[in-house]
Order: sequence, then C-alpha cells, then structure tokens
Amino acid sequence: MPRLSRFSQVALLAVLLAGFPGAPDVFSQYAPGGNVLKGSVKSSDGKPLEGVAVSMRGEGKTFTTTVFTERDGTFVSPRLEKNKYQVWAQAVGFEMTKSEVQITDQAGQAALSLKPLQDYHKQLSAQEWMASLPESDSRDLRMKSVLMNNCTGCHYVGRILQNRFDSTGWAAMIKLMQKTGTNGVYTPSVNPNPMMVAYQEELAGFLAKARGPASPTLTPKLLPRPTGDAAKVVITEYDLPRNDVSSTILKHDGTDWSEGFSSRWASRAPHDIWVGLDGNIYWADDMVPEQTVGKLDPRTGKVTTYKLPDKDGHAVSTHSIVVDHKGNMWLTNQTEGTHLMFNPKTETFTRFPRPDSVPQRVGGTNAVDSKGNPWAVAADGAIKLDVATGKYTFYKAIRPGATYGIAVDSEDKVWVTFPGIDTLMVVDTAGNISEVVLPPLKTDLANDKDREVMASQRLAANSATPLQKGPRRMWADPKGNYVWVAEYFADQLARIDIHTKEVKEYPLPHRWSQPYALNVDKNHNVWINMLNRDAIAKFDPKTERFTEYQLPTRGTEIRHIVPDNSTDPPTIWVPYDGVLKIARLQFR
Amino acid sequence: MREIKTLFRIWLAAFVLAGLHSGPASLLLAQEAPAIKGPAPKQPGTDEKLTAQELRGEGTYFQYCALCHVPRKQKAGAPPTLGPVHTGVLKNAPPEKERAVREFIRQGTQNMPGYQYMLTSQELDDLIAYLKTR
Repeated sequence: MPRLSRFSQVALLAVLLAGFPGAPDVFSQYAPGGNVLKGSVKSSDGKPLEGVAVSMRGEGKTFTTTVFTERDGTFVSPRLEKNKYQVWAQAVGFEMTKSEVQITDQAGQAALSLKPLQDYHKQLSAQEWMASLPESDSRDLRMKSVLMNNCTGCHYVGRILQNRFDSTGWAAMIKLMQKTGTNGVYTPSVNPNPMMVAYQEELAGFLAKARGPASPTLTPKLLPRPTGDAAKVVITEYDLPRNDVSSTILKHDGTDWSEGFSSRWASRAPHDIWVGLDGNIYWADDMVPEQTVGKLDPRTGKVTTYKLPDKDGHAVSTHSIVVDHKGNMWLTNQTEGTHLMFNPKTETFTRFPRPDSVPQRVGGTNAVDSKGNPWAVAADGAIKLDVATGKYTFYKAIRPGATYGIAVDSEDKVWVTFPGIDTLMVVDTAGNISEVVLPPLKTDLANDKDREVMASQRLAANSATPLQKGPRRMWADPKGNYVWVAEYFADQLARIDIHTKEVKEYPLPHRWSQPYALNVDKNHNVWINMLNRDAIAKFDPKTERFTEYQLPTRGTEIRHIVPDNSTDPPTIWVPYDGVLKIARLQFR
Repeated sequence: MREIKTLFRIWLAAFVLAGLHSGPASLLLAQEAPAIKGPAPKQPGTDEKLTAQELRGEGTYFQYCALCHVPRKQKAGAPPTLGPVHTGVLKNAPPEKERAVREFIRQGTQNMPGYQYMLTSQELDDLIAYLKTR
C-alpha cells in the first residue's frame, strides 16, 4: 500500500470522522476496539430531558466518562473500549437511574428514565444552596456575604449549609473554626481569627435562622441544566485514592449527588496540576503522607507517586506546580520554603536551598519566566530563583500584605495578587516595583461595622468583609496584552492591560460562584474554576461571553485549572481537591 | 550501585552549577535527590464487610463525625483528634448506653453541635448500627 500524503491522511481522517457523527475518533481512548454507547433519557412521564449527566464506568477501571443529553434527550458517548459498563444518569430533582451495558464492536444502547423527587436538597450544588437561602431584605443579603467571605477561604459553603443546628451549635462550630487552619487542623494555642471573632454572633444568628430548628422549608433556586455548547463536552474523571486509607470516605466521593457533600476528612490531595510534556498529568500535594508529587497516566488511569523526604523522613509538602519549556516541574516546597524541581524523565528532585540572607519563604503559588526561572509569592512580595546561579531574590511590594496568586505576563513582568487589600504588585524585568489598585467594590450592603472591621484589621486572603473583592489567583495570556484575575469574593473576572494597567471587570453569570483560579489557552480563552460551583467557566474575550460546563461530581472544591494546548481545541484539566479526583474536559 | 549513581549525580550537579556560578561565594548549591516511589494507592472499600444499614451509617459517620473523631494522617504525622475516638464505644453495649449515645448525638455538648434537627431517625439508627461495628 503506497504511503499516503499528509493531505490524504487528513482527508481520510475527515471521512472516517464523518462516519461517526457525534462520536469523533479524537475522543477514542485507552484501548483499541469497542464502540460507542448511545441512548436517551426521559422523565418518568415520558418527556425527553436535556442536560442530564450520563456517566459510564468500565469494570475494573479507575475512571468515569460523562456526557450530557441533547435537547431531544439523546446522548452518545465517545468510543469506549470493550468492557462491561455501569451507566447512570443524574439531574437535580430526579432520582438517579442506573443500568449496565456491555460494549462490544457494536454500539451499546441504554434507555434511561428519571423519576422526580419530592425532597432533593442533598443534591444541590454549593452555589444552589447559597442562592436558596433567604434574602427577604438587605440584611439577609449582607449576612450571606459575611458568611461567604468568612468561611470560604478554606472550603466551599456547601460543607456548612448541609448541616442544620441551633444557634448554640452554630456558635460552637464557629468557635472551632476560628482556630482551625487551612489544613483543617485545630490548634488551641493560636489566636482566633479576628474577623471571625468580629462576626461570630451575627453569623451564628443568621445560620440558626437560615439552617436552624425553625428554618422554613428550603425552596431550591436551581441553576439551569447544560444546553447548547455547555452540553457538548466529554468529561473523564480519574480516581486518586489515597495510599494510606482504604476508607469508605472514598466511596462517598460526590459521584452520587443524593449523598450530599463528602467530609473533608480524607479530601485535599491534588492542589494544583500541570500537563507534562510527556502527556502525563502531574500534581502538587500538600496533604497526603508519603507523597510529594503525583503522576496520572490519562491513557490508563495509572497513578504513580513520588516522595522527597524532609529532615525527619516525612514527604515534603508541595502546593503548586508549573512545567517549564524543558519539561521540568517547578514546585513550591512548603516544608522548606524553597523552590523545588522535579525531572520526570530521570525521576529526580533537585533542591535549591535558600540562603539565610533571604529569610522570606517561598509561598504557595508559582510561575516560570521566559528564561526558565521560577517565581513564587512570599509574604509581602515575590521571590525569584535564578536557576543557573541558585540565587534567590526577594521583591517587596509597595504595600505589605498577604499574597496568593502570581503570573508572568507576555513581556516577562511578574504580577502578584494581594487578596486582603484588593491590589496587585508588578515587578518589571529591571526589578522596578509598581502596583495596581482595583476599583472599590460597588455595594450598598455593607454597614458601619463592616467599615470598622476593614479599617481595624490586618486583612488576609481567607476572611473578608462584604466590602472586599479578594483577587485570588491569576494568569497571563502568554501571547496577549492582558493578565486576568479571579475576584473571589466579588464573583467577577478582572482583565488588566499589561501596558496601561487599565482594569475591566466582568461579573460571572451567577452570584456565589467564587472564581478561584484561572488560566488562558492558546486561543486567548480564559478558563475559570469556581470553588463554590461544581462547574468551570470559559470566557471568550472576543465575544465577552461566558460558557459554563457542569461537572458530574458534587463537592469538587477546585483550586486550579490548566489547558493542554497540544489538542484542538485545547483540553482542560482540573484537580478535585475536595474529593480526590482529576478531571479532563474535551469539547465536541 | 544506586547510591554511587546518586552520589555521582549530586557531584555532577554541583560541578555543573559551580561552573555556572556567578553570584557571591556564600550561595548554596542545588542538590539533586532521587525520588522515592510512593506506595500504590488503595482502592476504596476493600477491607470491610458491613451490612447495608451499617454501610449507610458509615457514610453518615464519615460525612458528619469523622473530622473530629477519626485520626487524620497528614504530611508530618497525625494531629490529635478533637473529640474522643469511638473505637469500641458501642461494642456489645447495653440498650441504655445505646440510648445515651443516641441522645448525646441529638443534643450535642458545649463543643459539639446537636444533630437533632438534621439527622432523620432512620439516619440515626444507621449511625448507631455502624458505631456498633467500630
């Protein structure tokens, strides 16, 4: 057989793809052979249901594939390998329906019927919980803002609202949380969080009213189910079970929405992820024992973990990960406060010790400049490593404060967010430091107490008054003129011109979404993960429109997002910090 | 052999970096270390034989109780639990103790919220059934 020209190969591929409408081969995965699963979902009264999540999992596999039904209630999966599949369909307000289908060389078929539920409050996403709370007057709305801004620095609000206590019970929980760190550990000796102390009585009263003994029956305000482009997605969710527990907590992992939100007891493994040049997904881990970094092979779901021991033999803790142009992983080493490199080819770590002359520790998040040097946030500024010399340099902001997000723009300027004071720091290539102050939040909810709290406290990333925007994480368009910032407490996306520093803000489609981190793909699209939503959003800067993609798991608690630009359109990856999974989104 | 290879890598890294080194003499050198492969991840639910009711109770237990009552392992060890660990709390317990535990969960204490407004009697029964297995 003569060798086909590149043109002929493309043409042949196009012909082959046209033969499988709705199931392009680009989604084929894992193993040769097999076919698609096709079917339909109706409500028990016979009406087709659009935007229903249909999930399928092969026997003995550690990943689940999900697609959404079209307007006529039909769905078609990507090509699946031959296996026996558990299939289930879910939509809020309906009982989950399950089926079992054998996939062979022939397409599989599944006709699913969903029965409406009377009480489905446990199925709600955290945003729906929040939207459903009373807001009969501006005082309720203000308290909703106080609740969100004081509690979601560490976890989504659903973990709170699925409970129902009296005011004494809520007060006990708030007291506990005032001394509980972001790692979920209560430390009796620390000073209680001053902002939570300032709001404790109001919060306990509001929670007892909204979720207490005499609370009115919840009237759910539901988000619309996916339709149009938002339903044209294939989501693969990979399990990342812990290596130290085989507990049942891992069975209650948000797969069945009617179970409610899972506990934080064993959650929180993949904080940040990045796509390696070898096609594997690598994650930074700040919680699970015996692992410093992890690797997921998306072809098989196989997980490998790597440990770098600290001085006591425990695995070094890492928070963020970025891959440089050579394929090396740059990690923020939380245990030692340094930049750390992992070479996936040789499977070796390289430590870069920080001299005593630079006392500032490497903080949580990082980015790499065009010369391959990693930068990270630090208290009051940013800290750079010159890889060639091993030299650390600290850059201090004009106004000190707690930092969180970082990005390197297309001209190599470094940007850092200060969530407590709604500002950003900029370091240019000559080391000059400037700042951008975000315009004040327009709100008429705040009262004198909020203004007094704001004026009297040192403001940090994880607690805020209703007056704050909380710029959290950010990223730069690698080929553009903008950096983008997730305004966490304001539910807004901010675009900043890297030359003029002009700020333009875009409200997210839904209040209480909480944009946490974002990334920019090769087509300039901005991808946003929202901590209080089990969904991600795409923002197209050309049309200035958002598209939201619903995820098939509850309690995802996503803190990072990354595109794989090697595919067209780019593939999106997100770590589920809340339930130990990593998800891939491919677009049809 | 692996150790020698590692030492060689460290020496090589130090040599290379020393060659590139242009900053003050006090700077520390990069140190290469081989990654230790971690233990394989465990699959959920492989080590238990519970009834359907006990399994439901276990779900409720981990959802609402585990955070304060089950030791958690973290990077640098296990922090102490906030409340008592329940191992054996209802093993072969007389009915009056079971009733007392049920009431304790419902009413709460100074430090623990009462769950009477959120757990259904069925969920409470499931929880008690599971506690008997701990």
